[in-house]
Amino acid sequence: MVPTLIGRIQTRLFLLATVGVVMTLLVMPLVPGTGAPLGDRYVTGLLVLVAVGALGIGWELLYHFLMQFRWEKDWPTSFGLLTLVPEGLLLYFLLRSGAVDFIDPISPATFWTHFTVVWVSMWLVANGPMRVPFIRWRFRGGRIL
Amino acid sequence: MTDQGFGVVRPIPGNGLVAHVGGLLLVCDAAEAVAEDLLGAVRETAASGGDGRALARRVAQVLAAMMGEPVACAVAGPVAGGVAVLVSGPAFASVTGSGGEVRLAGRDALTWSDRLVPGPVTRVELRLPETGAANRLTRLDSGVIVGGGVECDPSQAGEALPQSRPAAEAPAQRAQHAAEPSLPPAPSLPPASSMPSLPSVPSAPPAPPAPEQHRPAEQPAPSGPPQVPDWAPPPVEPGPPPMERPAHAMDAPPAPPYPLGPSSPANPYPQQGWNSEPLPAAPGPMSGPAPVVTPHEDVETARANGIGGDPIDARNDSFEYELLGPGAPGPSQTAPDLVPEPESRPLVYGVDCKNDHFNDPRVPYCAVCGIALVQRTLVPYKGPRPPLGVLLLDDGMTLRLDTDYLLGRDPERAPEVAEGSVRPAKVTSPDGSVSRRHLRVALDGWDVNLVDLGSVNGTQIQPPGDQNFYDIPPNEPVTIMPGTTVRIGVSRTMRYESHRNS
Amino acid sequence: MVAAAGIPMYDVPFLTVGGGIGSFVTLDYLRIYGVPTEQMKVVSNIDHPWQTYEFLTRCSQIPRSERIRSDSSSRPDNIWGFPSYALEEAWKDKNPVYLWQLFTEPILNDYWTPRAGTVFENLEREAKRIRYWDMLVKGQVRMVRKRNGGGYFTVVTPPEGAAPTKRIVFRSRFVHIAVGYPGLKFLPDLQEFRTKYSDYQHVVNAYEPHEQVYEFLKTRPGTVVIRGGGIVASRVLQRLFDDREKYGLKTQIIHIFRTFVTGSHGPHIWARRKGGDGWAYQGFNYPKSVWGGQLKAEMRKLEGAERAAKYKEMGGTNTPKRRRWQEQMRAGRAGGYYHAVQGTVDRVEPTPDGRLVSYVRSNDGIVREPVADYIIDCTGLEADIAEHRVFADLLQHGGAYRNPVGRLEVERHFEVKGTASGDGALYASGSATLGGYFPGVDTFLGLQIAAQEIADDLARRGFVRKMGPLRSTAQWFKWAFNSPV
Repeated sequence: MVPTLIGRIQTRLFLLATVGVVMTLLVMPLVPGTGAPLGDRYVTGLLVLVAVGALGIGWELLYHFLMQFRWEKDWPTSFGLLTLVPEGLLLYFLLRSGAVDFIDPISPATFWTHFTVVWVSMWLVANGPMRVPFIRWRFRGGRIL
Repeated sequence: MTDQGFGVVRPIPGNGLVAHVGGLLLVCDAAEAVAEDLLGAVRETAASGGDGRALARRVAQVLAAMMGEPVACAVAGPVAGGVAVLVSGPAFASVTGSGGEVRLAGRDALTWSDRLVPGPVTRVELRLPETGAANRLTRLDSGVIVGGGVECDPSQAGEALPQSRPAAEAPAQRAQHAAEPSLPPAPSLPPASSMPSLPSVPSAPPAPPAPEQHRPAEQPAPSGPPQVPDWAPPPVEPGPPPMERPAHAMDAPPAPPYPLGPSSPANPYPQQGWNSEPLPAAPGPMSGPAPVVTPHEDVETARANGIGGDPIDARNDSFEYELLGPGAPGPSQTAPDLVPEPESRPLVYGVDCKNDHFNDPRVPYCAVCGIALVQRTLVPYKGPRPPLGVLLLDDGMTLRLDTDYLLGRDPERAPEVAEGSVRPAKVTSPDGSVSRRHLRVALDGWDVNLVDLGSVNGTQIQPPGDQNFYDIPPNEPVTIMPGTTVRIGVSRTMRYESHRNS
Repeated sequence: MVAAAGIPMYDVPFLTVGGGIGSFVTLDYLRIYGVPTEQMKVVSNIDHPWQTYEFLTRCSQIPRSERIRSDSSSRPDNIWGFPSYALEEAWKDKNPVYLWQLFTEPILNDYWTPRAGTVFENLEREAKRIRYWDMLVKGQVRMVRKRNGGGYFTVVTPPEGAAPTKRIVFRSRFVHIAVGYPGLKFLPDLQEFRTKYSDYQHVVNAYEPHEQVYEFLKTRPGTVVIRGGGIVASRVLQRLFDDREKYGLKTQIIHIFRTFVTGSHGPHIWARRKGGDGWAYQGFNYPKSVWGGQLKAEMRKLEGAERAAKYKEMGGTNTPKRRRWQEQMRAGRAGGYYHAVQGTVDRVEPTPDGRLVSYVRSNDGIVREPVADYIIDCTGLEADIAEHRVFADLLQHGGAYRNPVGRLEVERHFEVKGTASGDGALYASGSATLGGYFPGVDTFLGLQIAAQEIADDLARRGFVRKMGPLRSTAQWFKWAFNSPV
């Protein structure tokens, strides 16, 4: 992934809306640590995606700033996966602290299972299959529009 | 002569050719063969009574045959109601007719530009680049001379000049002038075919590239200060008097053919022995009989222009070759310059890169400067062969492949060494498996051949990328590729390596 | 007039000149976009698109089994870059380690790069799939000229015997030129050495076959001078170190850098590059962001002197920092057989005993005179574009002109500026266009980016239908199943 700032934000939102939604639908019936009805789980899962997207804009600004210290304005592919840790932790603590009050309280197992599955899927898609339908995407700094 | 159609024709000094034949005008600067074709086109058109349009068509055919090369050339001839003009390459034409001045430059077009300028035509000028100005006293009523262009200015002629004379009238008059009678001063272009038979050519049949004959002769003739403005009045000191020009053109051109310096094997053969010490110091001049040069298959392929079978003719025809370096002397001049001293390196068919370095026609990049050879049409000619590579013996001895070698335990006393046709290289082995005369390394064209001289223990080769060694038959040349390992006898080996490995 | 002169003329809407990888990826794009083979021709003097590339890699010590310097997803044989070479090699070799390496590069591992052989085999597969050879016309292109009625004439000399005439002409609306390097430019003092002493084996260029150097060193201890600090120098150096180790040789290596990098360098904190021991190192396999990221976006907006300055800032030879090779250099410095020095070579002369003395002048004024058995020039200078007759003709007669760094000025969509002819367009890609709005043109990815821009421009002009996500996906499946486009 070597996108521009705007490209990274677009890609993140696009992948959340596609891969993220699909994976949420698939994984929510199976997640541990919750006894809520499936409909509620879906609502929770999709709201988490919205939160990831909203917080993500801030994260991307930070990443962008950090990359400026590198000649290539880029960083290794694996970093795109490892950002799971800080982003997940921040969101998790926000949820636990009740700062994001439109999402119902969520158990750690449920949150981390869902979050990890979605994040890894998005990373995998972004590093390969994404290029199949969008042949111009990788050459345009990750911009879809 | 005033009925020629162009009134008074004034030659402009320069290094090209100017022809005024049968009322038709030609100005060109091209390799000899091309110039000859162009002249032929003019003469034929004149002889058949053709008008300016016919001339343009005929010249276009000549140019088409060499399309892709900028032949500087301009022709003009009268047609019914005006003048037809054709320009190609860096030549330039200006015709002033009823509609004002029409300027044509050949380089504007893919091939050439032609135009029919409606009359009455009051001024015609054809010129090559970088030429001077016409002397207003000169005249070229008919003939072929060295020059850079023509200027026809009827108003100054003071004679009645039927510019827009109908073409129908022309044939009869032109037929009288046509060709031969008016053309004896044409020797500025001796036919190329006469070249190889000139007695001054030394014995070696591989005649060198024929030089452009008119060019060297003209070198001293940049007479008079070159005048830039086309319409400037004649200069005060306008170069040589008019009468001298044709004369100059007549005796200068039959330049003697280029002396065959490199091919004459006149040098005594130095006896330079080679043994275990690797001393790749500058080797002595190549020895040996006139090399047997068989044109390579690849050479044939490279001669992509479909030039006739005889390679010597091919050289003469290769106009494009000279033209590629504008202003530079053709390779016929430069090739011998590459030879540092008048040594006798064998001549082989090869090609020049665009920077005039002589190369194996099969290699993709020039061995001297690295430029790609594939981008141009390669016209093979005979040049002194550069070293083909090296033989590296297992003890570090390096033999530069610029001559044949005789390898063996005791090569110095071999008859072929004594007679000087090969250089000896002493190779010994503790087990005595190398024969006195073991192996001859014979260079043939761009190939390296091995001839086992009936040695006791034989010679084996391991082609590149192959795990096995193969015996080579005695007394039979075997061509080896760069990267081949050669086993001499039982325990000694050498490798053939070359920068030409492709 | 052309027809009247008896030169055969052929009409083909799209013609690409060159026949190397640049022509190939462009045709690949257009075939996948939906152009039939009948509407396109490629004029070339080589038989396979990878022929020249393979020759050069082989000479610079990269046979098919070795790995080239290219990113895993730079696939000239696959316009999507998916699956990457690493996925494919991992699948074929049943070796998931490649994927681990890909994941951990460059933190724990060296960059993963594909084998040269993988690239060539896949190019062959794709060439067959798009019926490349149906479009190939062998011949020598002499010039491309505008046609009065729009479009272009391309004058070609066919191989002897292939056509009844010496020249044939193609009339086409679109022409694409991808003739690659006009060639290398050997250092002037080395050229002089060759012509003056007629010695072709002791002073060699790394891009030409020079096995004799390595073979000689196996027979006796010797000294080699290496000149240049790029990727090829690193390969040559590694070969010398490998041989030294493998055969127990005593080779001494003197390495001359014109620019000796001692550490992190760059004009300001936002543009620092790592370096050391003479070399400038790449942070990545390939500076990825030039093809997709910020640098690409930035360059796209620059003109004239500003663009030239940006190129200068980005420029300079750089080399991927590979672990093994770094160890070898360390061992060489410690063992006293690898000496890296800064300097420029004034001249090279033979010594009486057949060796070579270089006169090396350092920036600090010291003149060294190292004596060596061989000199390997790894500078890899390229010749000027005007050294190629087609470019020379375009510059002179075609309206084309040079960009701020001296090469061919092209539009953002790779149309050669100043050469438009009616409703036709002339495109160029590859190293001849370096210095344009897009940096990194002379890489696999650069060629693909150019091909995509050209294909999209042709779509805008109505020559072909633009490819959207659905068609793209369908075409990808065709690629995956190796069925015709």
